[in-house]
Amino acid sequence: MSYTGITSNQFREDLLRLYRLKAFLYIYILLLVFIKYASIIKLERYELKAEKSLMVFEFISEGPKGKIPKLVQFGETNLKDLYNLAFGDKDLTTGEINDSVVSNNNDSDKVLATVVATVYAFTDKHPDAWVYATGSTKSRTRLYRMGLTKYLSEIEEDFDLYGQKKGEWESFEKGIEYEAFLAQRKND
Amino acid sequence: MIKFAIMKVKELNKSKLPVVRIDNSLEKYKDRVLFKDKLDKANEMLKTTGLPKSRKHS
Repeated sequence: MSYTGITSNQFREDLLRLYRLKAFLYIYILLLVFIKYASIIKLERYELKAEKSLMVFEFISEGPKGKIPKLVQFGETNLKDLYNLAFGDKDLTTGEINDSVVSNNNDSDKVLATVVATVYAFTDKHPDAWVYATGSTKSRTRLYRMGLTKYLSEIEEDFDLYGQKKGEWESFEKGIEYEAFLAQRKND
Repeated sequence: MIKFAIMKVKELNKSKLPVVRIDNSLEKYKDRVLFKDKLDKANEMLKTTGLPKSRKHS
């Protein structure tokens, strides 16, 4: 098939249309890459400090309310290999911890991702440990559940996750109100 | 050089296992129960519930 006269204009238009389609495809691919990158960014977290046994961690939350030091502790419970995960704000003057304060530092996702990172570090050092967590209030427990739900597929790659409902443990499932959570690192 | 090292830590910190700097000043918290109410609540709850069967070694 040859293009001459008016048909050569047709050819140019076809070519233009092809270029437009190509450009659209490039933009579409770039958008997909960006979305993927954004999903990695959302897991951004704070740098961590800890004592040697990796049972107490500290990090600094940064936001509109300034720099707020936070402590995370994996506390031994009455059951062997079971540790209670708790975290809260550190009072700079007394060094004491407040786990019921709402800092409102506009970084709850980053804080939660940092706390999850401490669970990775802790269970790497203590691979048989069970980690128990519950919120200081119902709404905070709900917030934790939402965080776990959001990253469930990533978490389940590395942990067996349970939810406590009416005093019984069951495998964690999306959309169910739990009173507490329990996680154990899977075998590598 | 320092900038490069900071970049490296930031990159490493994106992996699942975080970079953790050991800080001896945190040793003082190790044997302290920082969240007593929470721990008491957990112990109380676990007294009746116990633990699920571990899938780890099965």
